[in-house]
Amino acid sequence: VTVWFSRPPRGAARGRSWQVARVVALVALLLAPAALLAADAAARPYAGLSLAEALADLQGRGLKVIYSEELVRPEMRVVEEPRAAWLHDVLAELLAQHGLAARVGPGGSLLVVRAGPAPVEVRLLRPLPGDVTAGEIEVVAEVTSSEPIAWVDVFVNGWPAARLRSPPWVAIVTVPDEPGPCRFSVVARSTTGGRGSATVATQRVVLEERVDVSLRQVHVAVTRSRGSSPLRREDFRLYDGGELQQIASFSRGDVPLSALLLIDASESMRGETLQAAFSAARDFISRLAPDDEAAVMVFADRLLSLTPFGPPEPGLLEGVEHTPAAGGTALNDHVYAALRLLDGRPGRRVVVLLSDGADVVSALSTEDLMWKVRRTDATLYWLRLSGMGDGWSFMSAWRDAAGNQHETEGLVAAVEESGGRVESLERPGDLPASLTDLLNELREQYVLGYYPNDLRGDGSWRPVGVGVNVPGVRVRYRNGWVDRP
Amino acid sequence: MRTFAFVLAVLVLAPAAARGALFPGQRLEADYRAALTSWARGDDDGAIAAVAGLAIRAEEQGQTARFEKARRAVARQLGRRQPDAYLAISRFETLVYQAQVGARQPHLALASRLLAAEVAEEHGDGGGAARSEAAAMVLGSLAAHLHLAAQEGAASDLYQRALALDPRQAAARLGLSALREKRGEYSAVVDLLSGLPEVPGGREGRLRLAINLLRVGRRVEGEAELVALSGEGTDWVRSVAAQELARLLVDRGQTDAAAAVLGAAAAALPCDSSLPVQAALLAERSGSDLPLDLASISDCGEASIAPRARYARAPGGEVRALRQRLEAAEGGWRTALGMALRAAEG
Repeated sequence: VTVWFSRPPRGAARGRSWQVARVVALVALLLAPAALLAADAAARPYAGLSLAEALADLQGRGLKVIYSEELVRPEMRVVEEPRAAWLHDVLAELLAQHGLAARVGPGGSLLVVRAGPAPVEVRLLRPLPGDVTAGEIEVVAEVTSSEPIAWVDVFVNGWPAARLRSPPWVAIVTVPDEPGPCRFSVVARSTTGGRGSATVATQRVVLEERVDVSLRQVHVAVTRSRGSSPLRREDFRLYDGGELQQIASFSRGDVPLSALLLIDASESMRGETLQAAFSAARDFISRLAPDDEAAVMVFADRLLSLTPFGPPEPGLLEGVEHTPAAGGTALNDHVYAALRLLDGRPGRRVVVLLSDGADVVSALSTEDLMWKVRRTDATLYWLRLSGMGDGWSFMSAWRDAAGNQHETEGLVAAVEESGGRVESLERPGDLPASLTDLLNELREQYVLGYYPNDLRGDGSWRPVGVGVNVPGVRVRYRNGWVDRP
Repeated sequence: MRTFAFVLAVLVLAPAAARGALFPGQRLEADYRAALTSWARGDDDGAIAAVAGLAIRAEEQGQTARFEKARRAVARQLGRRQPDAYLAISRFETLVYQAQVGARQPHLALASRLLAAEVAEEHGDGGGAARSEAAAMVLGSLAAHLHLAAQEGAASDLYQRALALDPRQAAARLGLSALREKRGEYSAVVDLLSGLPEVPGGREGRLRLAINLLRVGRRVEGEAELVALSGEGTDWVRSVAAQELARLLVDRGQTDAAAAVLGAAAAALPCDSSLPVQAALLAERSGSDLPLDLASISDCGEASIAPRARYARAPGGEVRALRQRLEAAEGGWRTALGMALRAAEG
């Protein structure tokens, strides 16, 4: 703390000097804590300055920043004003704009290093551009890096298809039966976070004939008193379009799951809530059966991380569970993307959304979402973490309060339409128990199969009804389906 | 006896007077002037800490109102000698405000913020376009700071005060229009951003105007602007313009045109996840199946802000430009403050 006197003491009177010294000491004592607090927070505008000037300023504020001119070049300018309040965060924001980062060095110094670790080079050896592909094919990649490779993801037309953890980087994937070229992407990550990717486009074999399988399945969640005996096929009544259907297949609880965990990492989830979500997700994955599969998508107002579908191994969350919370929430966009990811996956398809918020910035509306929900057989579950309650409303640049309320209600309606449910949790600590209940519910579901009487393929909505002739039993199921062309 | 009583009074009161206990206002003014002198000499941290410390001490001693009065008095005294000293003090108080907010002292920060705005206006009211423009710059910058901190009522008030001084200031016009839009006052946004020789805020301003023109039913003008914005550039404005234009085209049944707009924008902005998601849904609804390439988007990292989220935030480019102008002018204001302080001392 510097204290400057406009009128220094005159004369040499000893008593007065003593008094001045006491005042100086008192002022210094009073100001020291405030100075310490304010020094960290008093961020000055840096936008437009050279990065070196900004770093010099931070050095002046007490950060022991050490950098080389090779990394911090004179032409580098601060493009975006840092938003952080604390100096270390300001430093991180400034450096991130130029692909740099700070690492703690000796004596508490902060060394400026390249944020991006050593590059990872990926080359696709098979298939080659222009190859004709169909059915199951082998994707072979060559990955080179000076650092160890953590994993290699294989995507087909943008959909995660395989994750490899050790060489040889070879995966067997299925070419989807879709028109147009097929795109194979291989994305490799090093253990220090380096990335590399390669993509090739191939030609697809066009299938001349298509056979539609018309068996439909209805998944029925049953709530009844504990210890009751299991329901039998003859206990159910199944209606499609109001007409009683003959139940062609009947099973209970033995259908493998394809589960996509959709984790909201927006700003409001920061801290304990997000940690609880990742922890619960890890627990959920560990409880899945070996023949189930799972994937994790982390989002905020944009996609943050995505894993391919894979066996329910603890490593599935590796690399995504440290995603920092930031930004707003685009629920509709990412629920739609999750449903698209599940299209064509085997078994019982489930999206589990862990979010505390309401949609703020999605490009899609809940009407769009409802449209998709009615055309997929995936079930949505929304574990709604403490945050906004039912009566909560807000205005945003994109919608007024009524519009935002409509979107929230629309999402709830879409979840219920899918045959799933919304569960509001008071505390993040309630998540593990809720996920366990959810998993038990999925395991206990009955699957009723039937052949609809008059498939029209006209895009009409076909309401479905399920009844049980056993007293005290409540059932939940998807309310209908779209008879797609 | 009288002489004895006088001497006794002097002996009792002199130490208290020396400590400023009898004239606390004067003492506070002197301390505040000392802090301003430090700042005028470039000791930002020391000066800010000194005023923050004085505010804490004044609060502890129940002299908050007296300290505020002292700061006002010093500002007027110096501003009368050197008008630019007002701007310097306003700028300084803005920095004190930011420090106090950072130190979680909102009740103390409020006084700094109010004083910063008040003295800037005092400068602007002095007459002359240059003075108004400079005062509006300080107010606009402070308003943008509040806007970013989600103090929208105060930000709106300051934007308006900035515009009253300088109606041409793009940052204030854009910031105020963003706040009006959030309150659903779409006609007010159109009024703020149109009727000028040029739409303030460049592409960002044009996008906000276009979206709000559509909202108030002026579809032809709004759509024309969206067409222009969605066809050029590689910024977030293009993404949002393409999304809104595509929505418009879909409503009219022109799904192929909508898909083309989204496709072109997605090619120009490969890290934007909302464009391919919207395009995939559009294709699915049209009966075709467009692959949703999440691999490349996931590969883009976590640094960028989603365009629609960016649209909802405080204006960026104009505020940066405003702050650069402020920084450029700040040196001169500090010099004026130093001169005023020396003159006051002499």
